[in-house]
Amino acid sequence: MWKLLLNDDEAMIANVVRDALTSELPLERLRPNAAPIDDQAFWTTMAALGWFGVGLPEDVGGAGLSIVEEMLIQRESGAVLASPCLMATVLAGHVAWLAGNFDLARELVSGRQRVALAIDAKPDATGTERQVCLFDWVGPEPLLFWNDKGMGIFLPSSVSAASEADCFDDSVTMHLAKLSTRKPVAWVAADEAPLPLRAQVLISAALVGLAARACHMTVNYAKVREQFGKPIGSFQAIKHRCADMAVRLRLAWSQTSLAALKLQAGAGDAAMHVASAKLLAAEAALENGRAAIQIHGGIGFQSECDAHWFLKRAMVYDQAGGAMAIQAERVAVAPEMEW
Amino acid sequence: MEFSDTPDERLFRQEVRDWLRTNRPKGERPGDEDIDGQMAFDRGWQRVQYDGGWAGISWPKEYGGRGLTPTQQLIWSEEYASADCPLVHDSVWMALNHAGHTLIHCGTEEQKAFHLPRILKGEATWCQGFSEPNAGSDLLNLRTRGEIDGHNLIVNGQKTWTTYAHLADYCELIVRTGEPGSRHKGLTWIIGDMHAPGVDVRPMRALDGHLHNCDCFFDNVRIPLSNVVGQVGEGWSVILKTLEFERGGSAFSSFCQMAVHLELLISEARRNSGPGGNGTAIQDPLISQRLGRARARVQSLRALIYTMVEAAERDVDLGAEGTLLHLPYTELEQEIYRLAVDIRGPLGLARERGPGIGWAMLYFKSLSATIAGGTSEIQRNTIGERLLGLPR
Repeated sequence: MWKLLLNDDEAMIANVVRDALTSELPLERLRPNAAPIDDQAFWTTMAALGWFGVGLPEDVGGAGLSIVEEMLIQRESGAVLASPCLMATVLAGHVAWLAGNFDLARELVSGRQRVALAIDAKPDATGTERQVCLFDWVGPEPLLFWNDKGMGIFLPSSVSAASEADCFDDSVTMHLAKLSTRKPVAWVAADEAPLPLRAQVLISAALVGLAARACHMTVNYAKVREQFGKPIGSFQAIKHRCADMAVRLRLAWSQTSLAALKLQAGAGDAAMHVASAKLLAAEAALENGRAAIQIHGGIGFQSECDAHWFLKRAMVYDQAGGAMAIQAERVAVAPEMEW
Repeated sequence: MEFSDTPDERLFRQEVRDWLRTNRPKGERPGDEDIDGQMAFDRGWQRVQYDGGWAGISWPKEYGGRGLTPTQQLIWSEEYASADCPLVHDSVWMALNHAGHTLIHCGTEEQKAFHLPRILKGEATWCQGFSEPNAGSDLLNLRTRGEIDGHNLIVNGQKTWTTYAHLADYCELIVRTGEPGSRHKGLTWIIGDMHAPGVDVRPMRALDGHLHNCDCFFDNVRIPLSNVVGQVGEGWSVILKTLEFERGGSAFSSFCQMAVHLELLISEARRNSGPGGNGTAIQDPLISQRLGRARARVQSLRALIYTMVEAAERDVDLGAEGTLLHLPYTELEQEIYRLAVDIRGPLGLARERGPGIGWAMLYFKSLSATIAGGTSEIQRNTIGERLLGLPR
């Protein structure tokens, strides 16, 4: 049987990660005129806590745990709008390790090497010159890029024609660039190890984190905001939208957890479960993000209210590895489900 | 979190699979238009399960049940649905899942000794006498009177939308024995004999053209006080026990049926042409996206059921999360059957005849799922208030 409840150790990891992230990366940091946060100092802390190698073996400095712990870390990172570099670096660790580049794996696990996320802007196009969107790419770091065929790490020398774009999600930077995929530092083909599916699970977890934070923040607001002499959460028009947020969140998390275990077990229907998770997690984050803005009313439309961050980051992650419509088609054409 | 496929579970699954393969009904279950044939079929099938030792799978062994763990119940439901066994959702089902569950937890020894074996063998059928014309979502507004007269309760009033009352031998009858307007105080849960003098059952035709629900009139119906389940005036706690059934194994069986139906629909969409007539239905991007979304939702509900099963086995209290399944499940059911009708295009407007799945009829029937057992609106109130803590 698939056991999806967290055991005591897993719950403890989730709590420790959440506590560290909420104190180190408060959402207030994103508000207009907020004092900048020393991102690099926290990067070192995350490495010291072992987050980059949690699912890697001990001989490259990892903790020897599994995709479950990685997923919990990504969920909590999503909830604080952490940099996509965190996810990219975790995945790059797997690429380096599986490709036999143990020195690079150690650099990544130790936090000395950061990796930025590249999303294929035109996944249906052919050729090795890819048009990509890079997130939180300062310039010198390597990139993580994947498609259906596999996942690889690329040096900045593979990048050309990079220009900064003005991403509406101001919690990240974005570059448009060309990426030559001919000379990866490390590449793992999808049929050797399903890293593209692992990436989808971790993105789904981050989306669940966004959906969860949007839901909690909104429910708390609906309990205290009064109109017509009552908390707005007492009105069914608001209460029912909140209930829908909770249902979307619960189902997205259940499916993401199941997808992680299916992938770990090498189940035949793992790809269908992963695509289902990505679809439901994106939907939960997008819809909960939108509902958060709506239920906050006039204040929800303002940049000083945190509600908008969840929707915007959900729109970014929805595009990573294929947006909702693509995932839905993948689920539909998958072979018959297994009991 | 982990995947644990124990040898016990594998053996059990094989045992269930083998038994169902040999014993599952060979003939087609009569449709809703042949209600007598359907009843006879369902009672017969229940008897076969009883003789095979599979009746009351979730009931404790001391009451003649199989005493299965929640995991085993889920395995049973999965195998039952994938072996294409009929989903029996009628007064036999009501007896097993509703009345049986209530009597096991709240009944007297005499009540259990009399009723439980009859329910297990498919000999006694039940209906649920809760709703009244002015007590739908507002159940606590119910007004059917129960007056004590010596050793009897004299019942007067009306129940409505009572599912399968015209096929039922007994009724889970809730009457007001306390002051009018006393809400959850002053209710009594009593076993009503549907064949007693003064009981008048009038079936109503539902929007799918069939007789599912009834008006039930009670005119000075005498019911012995020994039929009271729990105490007079303490019916509310018994009602809560009755309503628990939805979180148990019986919810899994209808879910698994829906999952099997969606897989059938997807394979039909691979073979048959779509609404436009060009290519197969699944090649139509809109159809394929709707199928994918439905399938993803089915998987996520399955994942939620796994969590409920695990919590039950580990004695973890999920609290209000345990009530979360009903809402998305019933809404998804309608979405899936509606999609099935859409795939057929204009041809889907005619009632299907002959063998195969009557998708349109399933769609119309599924419209009751978001009303019965607490409307979607009440479900959203419950989630908002009990799970999220929003004010009333």
